[in-house]
Amino acid sequence: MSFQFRQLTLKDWLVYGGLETINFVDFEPGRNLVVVHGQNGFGKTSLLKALQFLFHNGLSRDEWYESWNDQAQEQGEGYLEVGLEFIHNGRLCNLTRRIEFRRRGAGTSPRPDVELRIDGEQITSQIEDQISQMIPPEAQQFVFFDGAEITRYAHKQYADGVKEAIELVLGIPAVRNLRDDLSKLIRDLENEQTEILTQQGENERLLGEIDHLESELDGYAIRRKKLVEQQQAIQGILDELERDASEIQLIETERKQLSDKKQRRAELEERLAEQNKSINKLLEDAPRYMLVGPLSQIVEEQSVRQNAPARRTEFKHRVEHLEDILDQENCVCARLIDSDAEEAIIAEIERLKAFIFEAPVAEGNSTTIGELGTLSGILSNIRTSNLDGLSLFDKAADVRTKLEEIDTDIRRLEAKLENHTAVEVQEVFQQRKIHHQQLVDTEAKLVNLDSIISRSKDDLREKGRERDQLAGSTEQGNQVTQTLGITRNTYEAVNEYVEQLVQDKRTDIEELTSVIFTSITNKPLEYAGVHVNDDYTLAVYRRDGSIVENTKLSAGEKEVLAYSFITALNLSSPNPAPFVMDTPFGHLDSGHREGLLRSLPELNVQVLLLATDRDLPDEEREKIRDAIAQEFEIERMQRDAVSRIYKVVD
Amino acid sequence: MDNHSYEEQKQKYEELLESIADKHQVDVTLIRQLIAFEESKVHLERRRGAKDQIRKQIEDWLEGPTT
Repeated sequence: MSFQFRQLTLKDWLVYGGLETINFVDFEPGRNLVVVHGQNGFGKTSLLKALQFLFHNGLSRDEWYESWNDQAQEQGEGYLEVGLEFIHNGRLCNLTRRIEFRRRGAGTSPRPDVELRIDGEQITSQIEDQISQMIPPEAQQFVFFDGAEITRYAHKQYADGVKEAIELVLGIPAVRNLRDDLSKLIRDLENEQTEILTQQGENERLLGEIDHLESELDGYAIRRKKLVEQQQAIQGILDELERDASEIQLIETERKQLSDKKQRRAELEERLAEQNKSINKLLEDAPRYMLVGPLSQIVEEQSVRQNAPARRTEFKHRVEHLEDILDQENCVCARLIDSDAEEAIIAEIERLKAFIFEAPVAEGNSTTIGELGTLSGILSNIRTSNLDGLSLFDKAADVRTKLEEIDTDIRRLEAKLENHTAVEVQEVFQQRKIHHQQLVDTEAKLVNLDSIISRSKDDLREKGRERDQLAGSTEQGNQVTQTLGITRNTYEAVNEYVEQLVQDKRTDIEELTSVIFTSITNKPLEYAGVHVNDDYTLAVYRRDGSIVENTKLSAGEKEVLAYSFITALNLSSPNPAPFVMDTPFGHLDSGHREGLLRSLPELNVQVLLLATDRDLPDEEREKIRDAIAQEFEIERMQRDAVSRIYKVVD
Repeated sequence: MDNHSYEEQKQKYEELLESIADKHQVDVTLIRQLIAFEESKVHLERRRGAKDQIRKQIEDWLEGPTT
């Protein structure tokens, strides 16, 4: 690990009276947490402030006094001091910042002082610059932070200056400055060549041509800048028109949905009316259904009676025929009639005779053929109606539920569309077409201009080579020309490197932010990652690729997003510093808090976690127990009004 | 997160710089030296004389490139 804390000392700093020391164990991957437990008001934030003060004394003169321990102040003079021993880039550093308070006149006058030793050697000049290289002031917010800082960052990520701070952490400005300085140096060296050639007095034509080409290129650059601005302005209008058009399309879609739903509603009402009709019919026919049994019996009996005379004649013939068979030895099928067969025939003859000689039914009790036909018809209708009462009621209830749902949808859509007056659809689409054409024209002009610029640059390069050749003919000119050649090549290389660096660093942060965010979020199945835009603003995206609007994220989710980015940023910096987190859990629910705690051991840096028992309850502490390298407890000596730090021994 | 270790990242950007320097036929040590110089100046509000010092470093390198 190229950056780690070894020993922190505090002398009369805020709540810590006298001398306090924290000795850190060596960093070990996966066992990187140093937890400082303390209740509110005991001095956790004083530790955070000590480190902020140590690296970048951002305190005002009044705050110096406020930072001096109350007990110490009573003595009238003395000093406060914060010191840190740490490893940075393999070197042992001792940084101490102290403010001496001396009696002067009627009061006490403060005198700040800073001391830096690297590998035992005292640094005597540009100490603040050296410290800034270790942790840039702008980057401090990404290294030493508290819950409030995360909340602030979650909201101010679009503020001015944040982009610059982020690029500084990533080490981009240094390379960008080099590119700019090389560009200026090229211009200086070319001017020197021109001076040398002017002194020779023979190269007026060439110098005039170069001058002309340079002026021309300057003019093109201005034109190009204007065209790019124009292009951006048109693109802005076009984006707005596109949004209007999408809104119109959305409204149109919703209008269509409303119309479809109304149509569907009418169909359902029609279906319900039919079902109600069937139900009414069923209820009307209910008594008949109840009479199916008795009616069947009546129809059967009456039909038997109606057919009785014809059947008597038939039965008489059958009796005669059976008696004939009994008189013979063999049956009509030529088989012998045995005693069993004889008994069966006799039984049949008796049954038939009983029917033949049965007393006829009285005229008044019998049913007419017409009445019997009507009864049979009713019975047949009932039997073939296939009406299932229960299913009919279920279906009607189902349709009524659908109607209620559709009514809710209709009301919702009507309320939504109520506020939308008729949009001038044609106007929007016409404007979109016009601006789209303008954009195409501007882009074509840009392409054309770029081609002209490229040709002019080629010409200038050619003339430059001639100038190099001519200027190189003298000793002084030769040195300038050689320096110029190297400077040009270096410029080209650095220019390419800086472009690539910006792109790659952003991709790195994007990947890392996504990994951290998805490991902490409560919605890992919904959120797939985080986009880091060109201006380092953040956007969470879902698994289907759609963007989650920032306003849709909860306060806790925004904090997790900010924490993920801050962490990724530090880890993507050329030299990641140890994290110092003071009660970073602000709005986080237990799920997010657990996710965040789980992510800490995976950070490849020392993490100093300043936590209350609410931030790190025992059951959570147990879950990350293996990752905790050391634990300290802040105790408050209330009688003396000072705090002390104790190492917790397991 | 483990694959984003400091060393791996550092190596990645070193390799990028080397390949670009090679492409433009510039000694990568010269570029590294110039970037280190700019890093020492980046926190200063005024970077007075930065361009002249870069020129000096390039001229020194021309006289006898460092290895």
